[in-house]
Amino acid sequence: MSKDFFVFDVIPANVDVEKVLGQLGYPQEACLSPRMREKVEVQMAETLRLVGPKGAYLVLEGTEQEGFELFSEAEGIVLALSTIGPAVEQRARELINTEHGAAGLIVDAIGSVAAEQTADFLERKIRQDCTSWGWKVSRRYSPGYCGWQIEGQREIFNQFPDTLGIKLTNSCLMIPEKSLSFACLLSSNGNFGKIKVADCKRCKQKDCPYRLEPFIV
Amino acid sequence: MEDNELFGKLKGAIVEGDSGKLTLLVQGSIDKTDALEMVEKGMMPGMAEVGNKFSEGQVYLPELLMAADAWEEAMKILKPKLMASGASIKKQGTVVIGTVQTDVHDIGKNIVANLLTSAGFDVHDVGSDTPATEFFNKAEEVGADIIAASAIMSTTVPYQKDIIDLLESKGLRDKYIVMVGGGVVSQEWADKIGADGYGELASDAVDVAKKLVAKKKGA
Repeated sequence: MSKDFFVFDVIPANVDVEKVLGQLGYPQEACLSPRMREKVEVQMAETLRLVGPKGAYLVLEGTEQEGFELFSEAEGIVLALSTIGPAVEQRARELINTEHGAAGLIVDAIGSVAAEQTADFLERKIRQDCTSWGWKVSRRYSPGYCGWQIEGQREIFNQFPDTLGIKLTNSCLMIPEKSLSFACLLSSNGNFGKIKVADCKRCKQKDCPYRLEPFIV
Repeated sequence: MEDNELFGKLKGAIVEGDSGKLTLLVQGSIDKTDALEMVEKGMMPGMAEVGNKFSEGQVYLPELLMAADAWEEAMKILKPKLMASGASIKKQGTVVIGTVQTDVHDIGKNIVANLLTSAGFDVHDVGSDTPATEFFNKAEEVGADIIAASAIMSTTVPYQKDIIDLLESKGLRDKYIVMVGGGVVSQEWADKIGADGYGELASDAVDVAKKLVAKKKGA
């Protein structure tokens, strides 16, 4: 088993305003009043200064990785951690606790989108690197998604020599909260193997790349 | 300014979620107009209108919170006056709210607390990572109607059931309304553990709480 570890601490803090509005529940930007638009713009400018995106990944080559039996048929697994740091959620908390709930909600939404986009950046980087090494790379998949219990976080964290300051609580909560962990599967031929999940029949994510064959729609 | 005109402006400032305007109006009238009337004839109808607009999809959670923020700012000025006069706003009910043991997510819970407060509930926040006993002790201390427990992860939702189990073990299950919410919580889960109420979104909590308290008091 080889274990290469890569850290990225200069990830662009990139936040799509449309995604922030979606996170806030707005179906389209046109629904925004001028006052609300101004509020979002002000918070966007202030919050982006607080975003500290970082990411890391490592590669486990070989099938039957201990702790990752769910992906036992994959030829390799990339494990990844990303975060935007604690400052945004601290700011959101301060605002909500001081009767600035709307501003706090907006900051929290910006943080959520920034965290997601930081993970997107890391996933793209993984795809780029692993493709250059001759691998086909699956979409990312996180503990807590159907079939992979949230406790899978522990297996991911155990593999990392440095967790970028992200701590895992006993209940598998990541702190800072605006952090993501995920895995991408590697294959030389695009066949990532069956993932041993049992909930595909009930799952509403019809386009899930891991959906078992009898339930593909 | 006539009182009725003032009440209309107070209502308008709440609907617009304009803290600055509302604060100026309250400050300018606090010595001339009855504080309780300002709340009951101006601000409360404003909150009701925002709530209705939200229900009809005309405004969204940020607007609802802006109205709640404005309410809270104005109440900082009005509360001392209300207390001095011995007047009190009719409470919707008393809520003990917190995030369950081992879960430190509190942003959604704090938003629900803000919304409940501005809807006229007396809210006591027991914080996050809170054991069932602390929810119960606070509920006993303040004479709560509702215990509201937030949990966001599949690993922490079982602690919502701990609260219900604790109430049952003490023979006090019917004394309290138990509401649950949070990221992974569903109606199915709420039913399974025997919770009385569940809201998918933070904004659902006020309606659910009002209905459950009315039902309890009417029972």
